[in-house]
Amino acid sequence: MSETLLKLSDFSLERGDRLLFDCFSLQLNAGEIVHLKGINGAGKTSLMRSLAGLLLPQQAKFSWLGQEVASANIFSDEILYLGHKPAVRFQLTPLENLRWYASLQSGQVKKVNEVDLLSSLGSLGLSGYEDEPCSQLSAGQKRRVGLARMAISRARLWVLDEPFTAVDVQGVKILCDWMESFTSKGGAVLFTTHQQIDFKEHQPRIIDLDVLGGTRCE
Amino acid sequence: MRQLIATELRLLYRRKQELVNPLLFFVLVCSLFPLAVSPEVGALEQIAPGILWVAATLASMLSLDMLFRHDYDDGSLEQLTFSDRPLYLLMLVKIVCYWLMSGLPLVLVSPLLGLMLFLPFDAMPEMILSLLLGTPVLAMLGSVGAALTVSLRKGGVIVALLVLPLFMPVIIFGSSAVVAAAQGLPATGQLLWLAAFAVAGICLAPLATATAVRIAVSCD
Repeated sequence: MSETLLKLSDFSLERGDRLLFDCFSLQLNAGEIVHLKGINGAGKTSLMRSLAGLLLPQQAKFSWLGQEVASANIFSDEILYLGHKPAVRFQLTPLENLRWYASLQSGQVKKVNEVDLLSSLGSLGLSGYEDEPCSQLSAGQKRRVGLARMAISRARLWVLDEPFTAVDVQGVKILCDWMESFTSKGGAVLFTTHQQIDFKEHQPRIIDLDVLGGTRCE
Repeated sequence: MRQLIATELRLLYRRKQELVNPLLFFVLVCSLFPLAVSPEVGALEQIAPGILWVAATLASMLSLDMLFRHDYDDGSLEQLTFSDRPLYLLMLVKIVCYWLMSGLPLVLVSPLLGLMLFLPFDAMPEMILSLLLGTPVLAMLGSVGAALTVSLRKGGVIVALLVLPLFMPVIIFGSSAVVAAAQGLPATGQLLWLAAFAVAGICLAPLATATAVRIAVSCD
């Protein structure tokens, strides 16, 4: 039976003068892919940033692996978050960028070695560009450098905010494969996209913020 | 950890055009004083400690913006908060690397500028030591201001207003150490104060910076 990774309840969030969420709740189980849908401005990014601990909601109850925690910051090292900003340094090469990311994860049991880094870049079609400064790469390639993190991360939950932007058809396919193999190993994925995505085996669970229309308490 | 430090230094090195600015500013300001005030030995040696310290302080403020600006813009700052390493430790790494690349060069050229301003030779060790202890404090204090203002698009002047009052004690003790040494008096007291500031800065500033970074990231 799949365990519950993250449970969010009583979630209320205001942005500016607008109440985006009121008593919203959400549950993410190990082994599932969740597609977060909603029109522009529905609060997809805000929800994801709150789950990642980047945004402080007005009110929220988090529970991680069945344990109630005070804030999302407590489990943020178990999350791989990819946002609109690629977090790719233009002055560094793809390999150096990835090395930097790997070095942020200290408590790992097995160290990420150079071979893993190179193979994750290679499988995203960046072999031959490892030592090129990222400023020389195309927009899609820069995006891929950021996405290559998915292959070396040890996070339990992937929170991917529009990961497919500027990525070509081939790339989307590879990313979908990664997401599927990650969830089959007990991870969970929450992602947004406005593209039509086809997974091989998994049927993503869809959470549509427009339909929910800001679930109210009672 | 070694990888993190290496990346940070490499990044700063590849942005060296921005790091040259404060150094150039320091040299230019100091070299303008003999022209503007007087090239006389008597006049210059009187004001040399003050000129060196004021110029060094303003110069180290000049590059503060680059400490977090790029990381904020490209999203790396967000990623730092996901690390399982404590954020204050990551900030400490950042600030120390930043000081090594921006503050230390100021200290290294200061003897040359001291000579140019007729700073008495006996005061030279105290001048170098005071800058060596003082510029890290400036970097530590400045990092708090830089982190607080990074989410504002144009934070330039506000950073200065925020951190300049905090810089005051450092300038006072720093320049008075050099003045004392130039008059042949012991400067140990002032230098010990600077050392105390440095220790306090290293302990406390990264904590404040880490909190400010969390706020900055959540403002986005």
